[in-house]
Amino acid sequence: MKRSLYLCALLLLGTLSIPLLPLADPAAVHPELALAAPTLAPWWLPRSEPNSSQWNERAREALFGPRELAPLWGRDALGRCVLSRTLYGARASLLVAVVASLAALIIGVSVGASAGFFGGRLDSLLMRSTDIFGALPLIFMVIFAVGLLRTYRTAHPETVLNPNLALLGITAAVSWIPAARIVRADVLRLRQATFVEAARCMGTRDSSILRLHVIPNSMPVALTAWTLTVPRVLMLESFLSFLGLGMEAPDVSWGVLLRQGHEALTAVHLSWWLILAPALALTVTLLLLNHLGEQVRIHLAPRRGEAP
Amino acid sequence: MTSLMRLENATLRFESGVRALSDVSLSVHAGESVLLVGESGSGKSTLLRALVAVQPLDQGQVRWQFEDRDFDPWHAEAALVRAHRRHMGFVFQDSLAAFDPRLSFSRSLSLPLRAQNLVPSSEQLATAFRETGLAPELLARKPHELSGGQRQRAALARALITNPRVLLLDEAVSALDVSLRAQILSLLLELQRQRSMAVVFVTHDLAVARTLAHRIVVMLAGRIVENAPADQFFAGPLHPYAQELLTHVLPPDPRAAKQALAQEPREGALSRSGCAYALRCPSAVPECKVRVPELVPRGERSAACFLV
Amino acid sequence: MSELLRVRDLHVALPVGARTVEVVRGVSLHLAKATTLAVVGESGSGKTMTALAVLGLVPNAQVTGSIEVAGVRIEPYSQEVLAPLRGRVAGMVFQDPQSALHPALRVGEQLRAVVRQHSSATKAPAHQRCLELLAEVGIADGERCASAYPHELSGGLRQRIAIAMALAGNPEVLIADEPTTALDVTVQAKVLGLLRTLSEQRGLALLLISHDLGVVAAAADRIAVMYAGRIVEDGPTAQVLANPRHPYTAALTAAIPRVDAAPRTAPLAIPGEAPLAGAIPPGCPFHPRCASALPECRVSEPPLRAISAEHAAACVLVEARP
Repeated sequence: MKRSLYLCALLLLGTLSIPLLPLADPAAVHPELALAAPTLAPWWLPRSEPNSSQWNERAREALFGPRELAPLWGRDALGRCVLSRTLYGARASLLVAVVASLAALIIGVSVGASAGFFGGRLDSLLMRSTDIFGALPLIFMVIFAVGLLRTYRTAHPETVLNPNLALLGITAAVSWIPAARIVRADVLRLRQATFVEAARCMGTRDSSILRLHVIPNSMPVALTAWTLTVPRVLMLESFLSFLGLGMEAPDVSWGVLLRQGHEALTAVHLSWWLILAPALALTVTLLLLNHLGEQVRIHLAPRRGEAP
Repeated sequence: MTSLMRLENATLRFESGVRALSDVSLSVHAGESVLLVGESGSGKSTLLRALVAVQPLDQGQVRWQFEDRDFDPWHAEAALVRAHRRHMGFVFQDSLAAFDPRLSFSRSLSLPLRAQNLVPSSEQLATAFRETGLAPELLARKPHELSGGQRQRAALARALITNPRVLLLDEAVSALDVSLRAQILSLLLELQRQRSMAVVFVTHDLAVARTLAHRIVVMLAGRIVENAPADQFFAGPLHPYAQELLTHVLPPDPRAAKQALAQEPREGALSRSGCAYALRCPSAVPECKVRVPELVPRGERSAACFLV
Repeated sequence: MSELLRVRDLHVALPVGARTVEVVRGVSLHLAKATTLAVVGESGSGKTMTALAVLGLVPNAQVTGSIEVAGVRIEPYSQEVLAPLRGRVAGMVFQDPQSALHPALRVGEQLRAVVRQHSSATKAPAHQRCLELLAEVGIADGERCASAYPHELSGGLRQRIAIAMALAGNPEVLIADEPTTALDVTVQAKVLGLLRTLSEQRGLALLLISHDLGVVAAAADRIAVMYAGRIVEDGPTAQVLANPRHPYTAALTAAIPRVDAAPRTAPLAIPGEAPLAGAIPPGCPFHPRCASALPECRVSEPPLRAISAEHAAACVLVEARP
């Protein structure tokens, strides 16, 4: 359990500190070096524009000197450093994953707890909504919403409406369902708990029972549901972006990288490093998150507490 | 005598079809100790929950009369009902399940006061623990950190913290070791004397009933079959079922115990029509299988039997 | 004397966290044919662990001591030696009949499975045997019972079926761990009566674990009282209950609520609580709660001292009387 937490904390820290790492500019284009294969030497290249004004670049200067890591993982079709793009892509992918899954969790817990606790018609209504949402065709919804927003943005380039928001929204909209069901089941169990009955006997209001007793006690389950949702959302975003329905250039995410890598693949130029890099990053992260989810579940399960 | 809580003709059928309560009427008077005795499925725990208006009824009424008003809590304003709940304290059989596992005892004990919009003082909580024989330092602990005996005392402290006029207990000593049982029983007797509370205690154990009772109420298959002052009851029950219960009590004396065991146990299931005991009763007459006997008063006692 | 069960100096230690805790600290008992020995104690006394250890049902436990079941020495204490004994030489009945039976199988199927495990019977003779067993435990309509699921039957019936399953292998010893605690009082009488009958008819040696002195008084020939992992008093039931020589036994009998007691009077409580295994005070484990404790009780733990040929108690006060 602890090991998983440390690794995930490391992941988080790593992701946040990417601007401070001595990486090449992910957007810097070098057409003359297109599709360069991965090399092991040299490790360092001189930085192209030293002494920039941005704070992270100055910090980077101070830490690592006026140099950047060479494209150890090769370059893509436009000569951009794959290593750099993969790491920068982590930020977008993980940001979407965490935000969307948190949104999904909040919706899921609210729906599940209300349905489970109040029962009756509210329960039926909410659970039927869950079924409806579950039945919606994801791909069509995404195509529709993202396509709509892209068209709108092309027509109105100054708008704040970002197709990525649609991606976030729709991803959250489909991912809250398992969390809702899991939380509802736990709340149904808690509703029968003796201490809830005791709370009723002493005159605690229903809303207080929900707030003080039911939701805190269903948090372990909700947390487990969340740790299992994050990898799913991550995978979803990568999948959609790979299909061209999610994030698109110039945004960088693992799905986008996979798509670009796939496009650059021809019978002549087998630039395997373009696909391997994001795929490896995605796989490792998914494994790590799934492992964490397992550990959370195991660790929190006996927390009920028994006398020795 | 003032009746603090009453059930009038209470009838309840569970969804499974089981008749939990059939035309049950019972009054709880100030300062009186009523022991509800019966086997599993007799409806005694359901009756208790009906009294505190936590279990709704199909037919019949619950009435509370703690102050000037005599009202039905199911048809009164929520605020009034909530305020009246300070007059009752409930202790459950399973002390571990009766407390929210995430809360310390000081928080759990302050909940009944908060439900009454009162702010508990640490002195109040400490006194509550001391009165039930617990060190105030234990207030900071969580439920699983205490032994069974200590936890049940804490449950008692919680039930008493609002100075209730009625203390309701559901098999509160059944899960405890014999030596702890005696401690809790003696504590209950003392607290009752000090505070002049009414006590309603549900148990299957007639010996425990003898220790505490002013009055014995015997239940069978959802009906009250005998209601008598304790001394009169133990001198000789009127109802054949109550007589059977008493003969099967095994005292820790080999001769008496072997004698009790040697009594030929009565065979027969419970009857669905007429008197539930009709198929087992040695003195049954044909009418017993047809009509349900009403409670027939005989002085201070009453029994539901045609032959009384 | 045909002793079907002989346990000498049994020690059972369990891993608890990082430590190893002794829950049974030197228990010796013996059980003859067609007799019932009750092991009495409260939670933490080690009575259930003793019973489970005899049949090797405690995983992860370190068990030392000598155990002899129906003349078979359990040596070495391993599953290879213990497994063949279970059901065939010694059977066990547990407290909760609901969890002792498989909820998704019919009773007949379960019983048949046990019968076939202990014999080479084919399906039809096995079914016949099941009906015989059900009749032996006092179930009138065996066919109907066998085709029912456990949840369709009452607690009393379920416990009888559990007893039938324990007898399926024709054991000579039957261990019953709190067999009537989960049952109603009227049913308790029937099940205890059944156990008594079986003991007489089959010559079963019955080891009865219980915390209920009433049950013990009614059903047992001899009692062994356990406290903090040791036997503190043992002897014939009548003698031990009428004239308890260990302060714990005396206090326990006084602490029981009785129907013939004075009204509205609590029985005499024993102050304090029983120590948990691993936190046993030095000297006699009962001394912090004992009304007759002497200074020497804090120092050494007294062994079982004979009061008569059959009655012994582990208390310094026993020596004091001639």
